[in-house]
Order: sequence, then C-alpha cells, then structure tokens
Amino acid sequence: MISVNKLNVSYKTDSGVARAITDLDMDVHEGETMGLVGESGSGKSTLGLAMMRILPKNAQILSGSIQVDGTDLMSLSTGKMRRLRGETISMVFQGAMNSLNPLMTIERQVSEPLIIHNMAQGEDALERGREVLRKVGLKSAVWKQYPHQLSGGMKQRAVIAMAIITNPKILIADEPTTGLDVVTQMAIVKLLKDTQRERNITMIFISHDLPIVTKIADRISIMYGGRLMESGTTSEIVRSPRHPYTTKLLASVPDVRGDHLISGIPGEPVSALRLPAGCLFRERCENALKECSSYNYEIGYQEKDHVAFCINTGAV
Amino acid sequence: MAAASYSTYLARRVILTVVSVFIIISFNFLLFRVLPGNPITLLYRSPRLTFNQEKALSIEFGLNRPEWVQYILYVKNALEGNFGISYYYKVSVTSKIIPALENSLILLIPATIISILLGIYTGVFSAWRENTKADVAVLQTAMAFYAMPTFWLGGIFILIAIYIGGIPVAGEYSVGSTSIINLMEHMALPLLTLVLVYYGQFTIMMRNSLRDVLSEDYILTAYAKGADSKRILYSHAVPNAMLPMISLIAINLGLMVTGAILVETVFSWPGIGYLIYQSIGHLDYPMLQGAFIIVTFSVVLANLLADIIYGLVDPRIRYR
Amino acid sequence: MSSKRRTSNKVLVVVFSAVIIATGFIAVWNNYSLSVNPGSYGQSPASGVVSSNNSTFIVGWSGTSIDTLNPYTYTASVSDWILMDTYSTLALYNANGSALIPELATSWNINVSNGTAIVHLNPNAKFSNGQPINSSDVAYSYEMADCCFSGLSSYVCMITNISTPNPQTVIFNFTGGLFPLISLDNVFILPESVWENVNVSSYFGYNASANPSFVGSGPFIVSKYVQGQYIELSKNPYWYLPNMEPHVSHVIIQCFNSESSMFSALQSGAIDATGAFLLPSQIPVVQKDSSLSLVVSDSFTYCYLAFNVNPSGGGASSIRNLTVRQAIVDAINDTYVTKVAWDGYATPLATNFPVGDSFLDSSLPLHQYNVSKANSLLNASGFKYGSNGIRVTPNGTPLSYTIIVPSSFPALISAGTVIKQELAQIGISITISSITTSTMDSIIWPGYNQTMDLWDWSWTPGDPTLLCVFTGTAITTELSDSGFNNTEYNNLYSELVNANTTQQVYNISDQLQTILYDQLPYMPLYSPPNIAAYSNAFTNISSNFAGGPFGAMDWQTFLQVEPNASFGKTTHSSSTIYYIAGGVAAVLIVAAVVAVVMRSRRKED
Repeated sequence: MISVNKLNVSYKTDSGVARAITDLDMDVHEGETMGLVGESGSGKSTLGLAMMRILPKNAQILSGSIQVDGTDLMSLSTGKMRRLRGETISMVFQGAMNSLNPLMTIERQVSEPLIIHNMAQGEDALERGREVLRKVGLKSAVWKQYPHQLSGGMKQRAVIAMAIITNPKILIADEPTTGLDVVTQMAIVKLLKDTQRERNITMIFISHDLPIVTKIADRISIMYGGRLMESGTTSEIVRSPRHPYTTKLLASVPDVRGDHLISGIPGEPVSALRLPAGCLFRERCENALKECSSYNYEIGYQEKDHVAFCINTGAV
Repeated sequence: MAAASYSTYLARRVILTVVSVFIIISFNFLLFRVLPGNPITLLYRSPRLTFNQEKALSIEFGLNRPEWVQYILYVKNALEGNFGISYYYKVSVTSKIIPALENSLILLIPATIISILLGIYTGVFSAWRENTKADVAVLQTAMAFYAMPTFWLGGIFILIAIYIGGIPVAGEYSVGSTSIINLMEHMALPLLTLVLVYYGQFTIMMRNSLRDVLSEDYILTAYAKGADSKRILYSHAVPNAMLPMISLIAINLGLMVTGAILVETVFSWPGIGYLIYQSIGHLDYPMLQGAFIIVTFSVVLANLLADIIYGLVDPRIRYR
Repeated sequence: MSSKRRTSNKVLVVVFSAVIIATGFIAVWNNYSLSVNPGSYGQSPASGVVSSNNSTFIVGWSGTSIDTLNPYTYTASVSDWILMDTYSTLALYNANGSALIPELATSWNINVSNGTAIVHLNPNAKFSNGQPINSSDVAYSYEMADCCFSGLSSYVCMITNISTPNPQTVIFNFTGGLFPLISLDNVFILPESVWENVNVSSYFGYNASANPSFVGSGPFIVSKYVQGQYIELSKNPYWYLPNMEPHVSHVIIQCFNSESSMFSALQSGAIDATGAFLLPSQIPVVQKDSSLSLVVSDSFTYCYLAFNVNPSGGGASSIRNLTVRQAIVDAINDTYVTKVAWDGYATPLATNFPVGDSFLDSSLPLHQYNVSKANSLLNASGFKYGSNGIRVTPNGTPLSYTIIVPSSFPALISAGTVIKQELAQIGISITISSITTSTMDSIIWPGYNQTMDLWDWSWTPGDPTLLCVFTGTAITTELSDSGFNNTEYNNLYSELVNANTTQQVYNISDQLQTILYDQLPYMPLYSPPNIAAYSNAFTNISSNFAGGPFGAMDWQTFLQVEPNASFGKTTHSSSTIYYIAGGVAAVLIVAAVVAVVMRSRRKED
C-alpha cells in the first residue's frame, strides 16, 4: 500500500544542513500497522511529515519517492495533495501537547475535516463529530468544552477522533502515547487497535517507546540517525534482533519486577549535522569492527521480511 | 460553576478599577502642585496687579488655604464632576474640556480605528509571508512611517497641499462653515498623518503575534487536516493572534482622549491635546486636573474593557 | 508555482506600471490643473462679491488664545485687541502714544491743582442695541474698574469721586499728580443695563444664547464666537462716529495653534493676514509671493539681560559689583547680538523702553563695545585669571555665571549663546539654562536665586509707569527681576507719578533712565520686530503703531482695511511640483499593484 523508496530529506539550519533521512526504504502493506521506532532525532517524525507533505519551510526532500497505492505523492500538485490530506491520509499528533486550537470547542475542531473536504456542512458535520467523539470514548459533557479543560488522555482521544472522522485509508500516528500515564497509554493503544481493525486502516505508528510499539505494530522498523537499521515482523524483532542497536534498545527497557540493573546505551545520538562516515552507530557499538567505518549500508542480514543493516549481526 | 468564576473575575477587576481611580485622583492633585512657579504671578505679570488683587485672586483660586483643605475640597468636587473654574479662562473647566474633547475625538476615533485595521491587515500580510521580500517591504514601510516625526510628516503634507491648492491646511472648519463636507476636507490631512504614524505599532505587534501563533502545534494540525491557507489563517491563526492585540487596542482607544498634541499644533486642530499643553504653560491647575482625570479614567476604563473582552473571548480565562 | 505563471505575472506588473506612469505624465503635460485658485478659497459664505459693502477680513492669531471678553479680567492681548474695537473708551491713544484722540468723550478739561477732570460725552453715542450711552454708564464702568478682581484698577485707583451732573457730563475727582490720562484709553465703557444683571467678575462678555448676544459701544460688535477657533466681529449698526467708519463689514480673528500653521493658512488662502508672529526665515517666502505683502514694525517689547543686584538675594555675589557689570556690558556687542537674534530685523536698545516709545530717552547712546576696556576694568579691580582661563574674585571664586532664559524664546536663546561667546573673551564663563517661564518664575521670586536672566517686557506705548519695575516695591510685588533698590530712584519715581505736567513726566523719566544706564540692573539688548504678512486682496493697512497692524495694539487696523478692487486672482503654477506629485502617485500605485500581485503567491504546501 505504502512504499517509500530511497527517501532523502534534509533541513537547512543556521548551523548548517542537517540530513534527517538518508536512503530510506520502507513498505507498509494494506491494513497492517508499521511501527517506526527510534530515538529523538532519528528522523521518524520527519518521515510522517514528509508523507503528509507538511514539512517545515526549511526542509527539503532531496530525492526518493513515497508511493501510495501506486501514486507517487511527491508528484502530486499542491491542490491534489491538500485534498488527500486529512481525507485519505490523516495524522494523529501528540495530544498531550498543543495540538488543539485553544479557542475552538472540541466538537467544532473534530468536525472541521468534514467541512474542509466537503463531506458535510453545519449542524450535520457537528452531529457526525459528536458521533466520532462518542466512539473514541468522550462523553457529551466534553463536546462543547475547550482543550484546556481536558486531560491529556482526553485530548489524545479527541485528536484521534479528528483524524478518523473522514474515514482515511492511512493513519500516521506520531507519538500518540507520549506524555500520558501508563494506564492511559494502554487505553489509547487499544483504541487505535480497535479503530484500525474496524475500518481496515493502514497505520504507521511512530514512537520512541519500543515496548508500546510491540503491543500494536505488526511489523517494526528501527531508525537511527536518519537511516533504517533493522526491519521485520514484531515477533522476529523481539525474539531475535540482528542489529546491535535493536538489541540494546530491547535491553534498555526497565523491568519492574526483575532486579537486574538498568542498562542503557553509552554515548549520545549522532548529530544530523555531522553524520560520520560508514555505520552511524559505530561509535557506540560494542560489536564495532574496523570495517564498520567504511560500511556502505549494504544489507547485512536478510531472512524473508527481516532485514538488518550491519556487518556484524548475530545474537549478542 | 463556569459562570460564577467569570463574575468573580469581573467583580475583582471592577473593584481594582475603583481603587485605581481613587489613587489616581489623589496623585493627580499632587502632581501639578509640584510644578514650579506661582500661577497667579505667572498669569498677571504686570504692574497692573496690585498686592491686594493678588490676595483676592489667591482667595478666588483657593490657593490661600492649607494644602490638605484644598485636597479635601478637590476630591469632593471631583466626585461630583465639578472640576472648578479655569484660572486662565475664568469659566468652568468642563465647559472648555468637553468641546475640545469632542473635536479631538472627531479626529482620533476614525484615525485610531483605521490605524488598527490597517495595522492588523499589514501585520497579517507580513507574518504570512515571513522573510519574503513582500514581508520586508510592508514591514519596513510601516516602520519608516512610524519613525517619522508627526510634525514633520504633517508639515510635508501641508507643503504639498499648498502647492496643489484646494486642500485646507489648518483648522477644523473653514470660518463660518459647519457642513460635514467641510469638516471632512479639513480632516483629510490630519487624519492621513495620524494614520500613517500610528499604524506601524499594530503592524509589528500583529506580525509578531501571528508569527508566534503560526509556529504552534495546532497550526500543523490544521495543515494536516488539509485546510487551505485561507482557513488556516482566518479560522485558526488570526483569532489566536488577536488575543495579545486586545490589550494594545484597548489602551489605544483609551488614550484617544489625550488628543494628538503634535497634529493639533501643526494643523491647528482645536483639540484637547493643545488645550492641555497650553494649560501647562499657564499653570492652570483646575484645567490640568480636570483633563488628567478624564484621561486616566479613560485609560483605566479601557483596561477594564480589555479585561472584560479577554474574559469573553479567551475560554481559558472564562473557565478556570 | 509554474514558471509560466510567474512570467505572466511579471509581464502584467510591468505593463500595468507603464500604463500608470504614462497616464500620469500625459495628464501633467496637458496641464491638468488640480488646484483651486488660492485667494478665493476661504472667503466666508457671507461674501460673494468683493465690495466694501459686504466683505470679510480674516486675520490669523497664533499667540495665546482668547481667554475672556470681560474687560476687567482678561489677560490675553488678543482679548484686548477685540475689546478695543467693540467698546468705546473715553479717548484713544494715537500711534506712538503722544496724543489722545476723542472717542466717547468729545472734550475734557483737567485741573490738576484741585484734582478735578470734567469730561463731555458725545450726545450721539449709542450702544449696539440702540440705547444711548450716558454718563451713568461711564460712572458704572469706572466703578467696576476699581473692584478688587479688576485688572484695570491701577488705572483708576487715584479717582476719589465720580459725579454725573447730566447725561453728557462726567466729573472725576482725583488725588495725586497728573490725572491718569491712561484711564481715558483703557477703561471700556459698558452698558450698565446689561452688566448689572450678570456676575461681573465671571461674565464672559458674550452670551450666545442671549438676545442680543453682545452689547458693545465700538465700531464692531461680537457677532459669533466659536471657542478655540475664531471670533467674528460685525459692523455695529449703531456706531456713532462717521469719521471712524469701518470699510469691511466683517472681521474674523481665527486662532491657530502654531505660527507655521497660521502661515500655511495664509499661503493657502484661507486667511487674509497673519498675527505679528512671523519669523525672519519666512520673510523671503512672503517676498517671493506676489499675492502677499510684508509688514515689519517696531514692537512694544524690549528684551534685556538682567543682573541680580538684590543685596539679600542668591546667585553669584560678584555680580553685585558694579565694575563687573560694567565690564560685562562693555564686552557685549549689542549690535551684533541684535543682528544674530533676529536676523537683522530687530533694533538695538540703549535704554529700558521699546523702540519708538515716546518716553525712550534717545540721548542715551548704545553702550560702547570695548573689549580691552572691559579687560582692563577687571584687571584693575583684582579679578585675576585663574588656571582654566576664567577670572576669579580676590577671594578665589571663579566668575562663572548661569543665565536663565525662557525656552519659548528662541531669539533670546540665540542672544544668550552670543553673549556667552563674547564674555568668554574677558574671562567670564557663562552657562545658558533654557527653562520654562514658570520655572524662571519660581527661581527668581521670592528668593532671587538667579545670577542673570534674559527676558522681555511688553508695555503699552507711551506709558512711563514701566519704570516702576526698578523701584524697591517692585521686589515684593514680584515685578523686578533685578532686585534693584535705589533710594534716589525710588524718590524720583514717586515724583513722576505725582508730576503735574507732561513735561515734568518726561524730564523725570529721562533722569530715571540715566540712573539705570549708570547703575546697570539691566543691560537693554534690543527691541524685537513684529513681522506679519497679509494678502494683497486687501489694502490700506498701515504700520505706524507699535506692534504693527496685527500686533493687537492697533485699534485702527480694522477700521482702515478695505478690499483691494484692483487685485487680480493669481494662480499658482509650479509645474515642477506637478511632476514630483505625479511621480510619487505613480510609485505608490505601482507599489500597491505589486503588493496585490504578490499576494497571490501564497505560501504553498
């Protein structure tokens, strides 16, 4: 359904040009959930924005294509793209932040996509908005309230409602659980899962929180420094990760009940302004070899759907 | 519960306003007595004023009584709306201030409103095209006009008007005329001058406010919904950007009652700005006190109005 | 956006601009005149045909505006000007104050020895409501003038009794010397029947809602008054002196908030004359304009440098030393200071009267400018030079003085700057402090804390009582800024006030001026000019009064002025300015077009 081919995106900043995404390939099949995992600055949010073509002004898509149902999104005119946006491809933002217009009631904001895409007008649109709000679990008391009166979890539900009201085929969820408490996080995940199943939505779930992603994604792609590190089905990734980075990520999750020490990853994430040659993870990798500095990102491991970009794969 | 919190909010504001007004009245009294000089000898610097006359005038002006007695009388009168008799004009202060204020408002209400609208429009225009040449052009033009001295710009227009002919350069009406057309002809140049030198402040505030708003997350959300530029700007961005402008607009409306001294001088507009300026030179305490009470009342009320509007417009204040 | 659209937009802009600019220039080349003939603009609706039967003369005034039309409480000079022509006085002074012209009084007989003055009134005299003017009105007006709130009381305080044996005769009994002839000119004769019904101390003098709104006794009446804007005077239908008949039917005095605004109004044709406040820099503008005439007259003002000679005052004590003052006076080149202050249009003065005043003692020469004499005076008195080039007194205080100047008198500030430079040549250091008049007021009185000040006095022409400023009593009445207190002077001044003949008055005033010339409480500097301009649409404007025709002293101006039948309307043709205006308009239109076009290039994506 979605096919990203050799995508390259950079940002122009005061300190120079930052390469946010390098040579990214990713396929998402219809009806499945692709989890996109990475640290801050890994480029995962950029991919979401690039797909919607709402990148900031200083961003530039250098090369590559994003195919949706055979159409390259990059080739569409702005008008055509705008019609797709919010109707066919929707984005769910992080609700705990400022993603809702503080001066508009919830029901108005949620029903706005219908009006924008000429799917309903006036009171009719509001009615449908209320319906969706009920579906996501927000009761009628909430409808005429303003964003500041809602809790983080409620705002997230509203944002989800806003994204699904037009029955989009593709849903990009960018950090939908970040900033929420654990119980609410699970509720949101459940909501998204149910919604996706009901409406057969193709979903890209972007998060830095690997455990959450494993609960909802069918397949997972791990990004670091703008490049794909490893990609495969959820069970594959969890049971037998091939890339050292993945392994470290999985090991970093604190175990509430266990008593082994917290492990992390030494060092800092690479800066997009100064990407090193060769493997981006080299400087922090325990498995690093001399040849890693001249690594050219050929596929290191491939077994059916599971790919890893490393020359020293193998269980650690 | 929501309604209760708004009315307590309102009540608090009103009480604060009343207290402010009282402090202002008192401060007002002291303010002019601090100015150096004696109003009587200043007005009557001539040997025609005998010692007895000076005494008599001093009694008439009430200046012979101790300061605190003067103060009590002043507060009592002020609350009744009686600002006394002007030292210079020998008639009641209100009878001089009210016509002058009317004249100033005839000029300043349209000037302020047009400045606000023009400023907001140019601010939105500029912010939407941030860092393009259009943005720079509009912003620099606004700043250029804002930086120009009012009297200089007015003087330039007068020079041009004299050469072209047919455009009045002074006064509110031609002598003997009371027609609206005549008034508007006379208003043209002062109004133009005022609008040009005023609007820049609204441009820059609106531009900054809108720039800030455009970088907010909910604008990205609006884009993601597929909204077009028009909707993003007018349904989402501008309403949020207008919030800080409310204070600025309210204050400007409040300050209209101070008149526009520079424009009034250059164009001989018989307004309250010039009246106040002359009264300072004459040390006409009652006139100055009256004028300043009106000005401060107006600003304080405008502030209150801004608070009220804020409460109505921004739900975050209404619903706590 | 596709490049095709971009190119087509650019072409559009270029074509559009070319069309606009072309239109602009074509219009200009065809001499499409946008102007109205100046000179015809601004005539009051009352006048259509220019004739002496029905014409309006508009004069602008930028000084302090009309405070009140009450003859007893006014302080503004423009109020005085209006009162002069709307009320009769018993007599009127001529231009230089040397003779009295009968007005309400046809003749008078003054016997100083027994203190009586008999005045005979014109039997035809009427108020503007048709009522005759009687001796009872005269008595009433003089009695009111003596009230405590009245500003005229000093003119009438020596009158002990007024009697009215018949409606055409008034008899005054007075004490003291010469009968205050000045009261004949300054006490306005009011209708008792009107004023006894109002609160005299607070009545404005004109009541728009009353019928009639104004009752006067002069050649004009106040027909309309719009606060802060203008006052209209109309011919008094009951005016009783046919040899003083006005030649215009209406006079309007229009108030302006600044000199430049008033001058612009003259240039644009909205007014016919300006008050006497123009600056020398505006003279060339008037001279180049063939539709305007210039009037430069002597004023009734003189400007001076005052020294604080009050023995119990503050300021620098060395200034009380006569030698120091003499040196200062010798080191100041009065001719040069005068030239700088008013661009050559002022007149330097040697004594303490405005130029042209009949009491000015012309035998006193200007203090001679002699720097070496000044230096030797100071050297001889032990004022040696200190280390920084400033002289010091024998006990070491430097001769560093501050001169306070009113900030509203730019000419005086210029004068001060020149004085500062000149006194530096004799080792005296001067600081000029430019402050408001009210601050000056508070510094000088009652503490006398200044060392020197620059200021002016304005005085009625032909009134020697100006010299009271130098008497001892002037110190407590806050008239004296020098604090001069000389017994001989004080005695002479009382003699002057009690003098029996005019000749005695002149002699004593000469002696007083000589004392001042020698003792130097002031150094008189110059008499500033009164500069005004008027439109050639009017003529018969004379300038022999101090202050000029529009200086608020000349009561004859409005009586003599008449429309100039031979004045042809001129058009302003100044094609250069049309080009500039056209160009500016074109630029603005282009900018607007560009803005509109660029508007469509919205931020995409």
